[in-house]
Amino acid sequence: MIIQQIISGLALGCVYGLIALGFVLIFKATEVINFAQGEMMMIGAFVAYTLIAMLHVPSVLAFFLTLIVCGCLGIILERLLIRPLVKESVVSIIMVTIGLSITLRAFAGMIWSYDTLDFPHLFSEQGVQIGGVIMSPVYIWVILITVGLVLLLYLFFKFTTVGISLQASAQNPLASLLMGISVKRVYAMTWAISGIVGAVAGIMVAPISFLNCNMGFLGLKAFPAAVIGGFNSIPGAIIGGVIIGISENLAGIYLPLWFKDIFAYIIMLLVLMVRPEGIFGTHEQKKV
Amino acid sequence: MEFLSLKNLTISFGGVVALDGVNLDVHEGEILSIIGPNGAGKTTIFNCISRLYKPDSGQIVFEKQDIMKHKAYQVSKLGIARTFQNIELFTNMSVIENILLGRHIFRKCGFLSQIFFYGKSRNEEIEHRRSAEEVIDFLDLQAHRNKRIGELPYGVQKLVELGRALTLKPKVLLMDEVSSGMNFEETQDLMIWITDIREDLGITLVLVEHDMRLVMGVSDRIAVLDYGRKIAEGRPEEIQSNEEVIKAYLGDGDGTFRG
Amino acid sequence: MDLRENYSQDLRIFDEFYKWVWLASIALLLLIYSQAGGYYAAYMLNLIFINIIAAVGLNILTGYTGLISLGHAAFMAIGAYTSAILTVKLSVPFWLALPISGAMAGFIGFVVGLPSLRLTGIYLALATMAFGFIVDEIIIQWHSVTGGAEGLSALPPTICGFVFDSYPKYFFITFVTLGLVLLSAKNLLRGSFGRSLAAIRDSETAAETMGINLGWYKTLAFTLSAVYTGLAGSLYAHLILFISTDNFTLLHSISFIVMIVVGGLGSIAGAVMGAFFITILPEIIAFSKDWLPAAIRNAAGLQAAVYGIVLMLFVIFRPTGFYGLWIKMKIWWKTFPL
Repeated sequence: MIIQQIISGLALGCVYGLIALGFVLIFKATEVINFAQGEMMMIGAFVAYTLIAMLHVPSVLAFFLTLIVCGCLGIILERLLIRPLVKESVVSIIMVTIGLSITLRAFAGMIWSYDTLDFPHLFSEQGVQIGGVIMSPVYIWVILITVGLVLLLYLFFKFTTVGISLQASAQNPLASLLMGISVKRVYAMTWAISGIVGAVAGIMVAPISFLNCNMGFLGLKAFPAAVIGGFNSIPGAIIGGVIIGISENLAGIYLPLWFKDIFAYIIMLLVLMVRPEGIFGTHEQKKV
Repeated sequence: MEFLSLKNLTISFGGVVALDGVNLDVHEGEILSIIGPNGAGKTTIFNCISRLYKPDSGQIVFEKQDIMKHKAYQVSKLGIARTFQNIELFTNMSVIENILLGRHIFRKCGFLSQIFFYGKSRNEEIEHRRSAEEVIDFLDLQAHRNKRIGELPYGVQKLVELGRALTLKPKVLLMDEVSSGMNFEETQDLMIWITDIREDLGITLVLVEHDMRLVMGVSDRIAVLDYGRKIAEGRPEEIQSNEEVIKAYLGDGDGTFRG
Repeated sequence: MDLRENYSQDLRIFDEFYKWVWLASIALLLLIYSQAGGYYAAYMLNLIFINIIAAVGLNILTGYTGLISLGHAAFMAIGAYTSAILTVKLSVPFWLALPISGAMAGFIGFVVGLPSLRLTGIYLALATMAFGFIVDEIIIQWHSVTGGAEGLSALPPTICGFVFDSYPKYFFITFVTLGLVLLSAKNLLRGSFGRSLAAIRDSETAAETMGINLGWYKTLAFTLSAVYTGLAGSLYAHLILFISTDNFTLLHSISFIVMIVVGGLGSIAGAVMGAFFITILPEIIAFSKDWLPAAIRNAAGLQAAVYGIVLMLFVIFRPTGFYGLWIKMKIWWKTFPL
């Protein structure tokens, strides 16, 4: 029983981690907190659903098409909503992304209705045996895909020119501009990648959780993940997510059930009190 | 008698030693300038005095009070005021509102009496306003009184910050590169104000400056910092001819800054 | 016409007497409308005034002090539940329950404010959001006191034997409470307290150098903000007569933020305008449905979509909100070359 909970917690945690990863990427590059990241995940799930279940596009093709669509969506959102607010206060940027999350959720409701839909099964339903427990392979796939994606991103940031210029722009936009890096394109790219990461999260969580317009609320759990891992740490996001996923499930076993819903937030509050930068984050001090 | 003393002040930031055992005495009523290359630790000294930084070791004593025992917000009540190198004004407020904040430490009415804004609270507010207007008069800021900080030219912003610090009626005023960004005329005016502040208001001044004309023109004494260490201290004429100072900062003598 | 002769003239709330006349006339008109305009109008007026009180509360924290709160609906819930429990289960008279509810919310605000002193910006926003979730859950689990998920009934208030059991009658209560809230808030914010809060928002470093104890003022801002919001909660409970956690969700917290952003951060007039606009927005949407194509008109998410779009548009294009627009219009009017 426990192993089952741990593995499913691990899988759900990977999803939280991916959404948190979307935040962290955007935050690292542009210092913007994207409250709508959960909704971007939801859109990814819905787009995939539309392609697979309604248009009967083969799964793998649909997967990549979804990524492309969500990547483009990320670029459009950045251009329309975030670019105009480049120098504004944190409050303004938070408000805009909150507005975005409300709007996206409402649009999704209008387009796909507010009912809960059945996400098509992408992986075989046959149970797989792990350590004496039978689990649906979906969970394993989620974990594997997450690991693979994170590895890909790591290589991307470390070894490709684009990846390095992304890091440069995050640390010093002005210098990067002077070096010939198009910071605007970098910001657009960051949002595109976040959109893609969100889409992957959505496609993976829909089968193990649910598919409807309020999926974005799952995205709220990614905040504790990002806080625990550290808002400017990429590995932190995933690790934070996994910690939340597993502890939630364990809390469900050992503590009264209602605790499970708010457990993630209690942990977040504790971390904020003790070490706001999270496990891997860094603390910045303003120079006067 | 000790007025403001730094004893063996040491502080490092992540491996970089910003101040290395600095000893400095400020005499009451004098104008002392601290000069030195960028990164020498001049602003760091001010930040330690304001308790924005916590030194690793050493002491700061002001009028027999150990500054280390006080928190940042208590320093102004002791009588120490400062301006900032990169202006730290309250950008969404007007000039008069910024200056009125200097009166914060003089308020006597508590929170509850302010709810009713009658009698004592109202009179106190009028008194604050009168005091702020004196500072505005002193610095000729009348034209800008109601303008928001964002609308003001840089030089005026610096003056507003100076005015805000003066409103605290401090005993010692730390001025961090107030003349940076000012042109020749503005610097001339500044020199007059600095002397007025000492003469008319009786405030001791410690300046961090790069403008040598200004420094040599108003200072009673000069201290020179390099790499977190004090390498010289004395009257302007002494500093000008000091070999080490010339090597580190002033440049090889070719007659530019002769007395 | 605009020349002042002494400082106290500068300090007045309205610099010219005719503005007081305007205000009194509007107040009178609203009173008359509440009594004669029909049941629904009276309900809406009550709701608008309650939202104004909550918005003013939030504005003190977010607009003036710069501390973001995404959990303010929780303070409203605390006020509402406290008031309902006091009047129904403990038979406390309404005129006592109202201030006690405000105080209770204020106390929780104080408790929440203390640990959050070290948090800024997004971290504080997240912490307050978590606070909101936790309060909701506590209300649901504390079944014996709060009625849990089924909710709690409240009674129409009785003062000196007079029962305010209809919306027009209830309006007198909200009217008086709003008046007191606006007056006290205005007084606090135009003096040294308001300046200190704004200083914290604009530059914490400089504020400390000016002798402002950040911890004390931030906590005070939280407390005061919670008190006002708690009062709004109490009034709300006795207006709708049945409360449950569904009335105090994250979306409600967000709608308060929308109110102060749309109205204009950092001004009381802004909070008033913003709360007014957002409260009647559903009416506006319903009214203009006839002009919309059928597909959009009947969509379930229309109201939420409009909220979101309005919020985004205002933040991007009109960050100073309605109040900023109002000021611009006044200046344009004054400087018109005629």
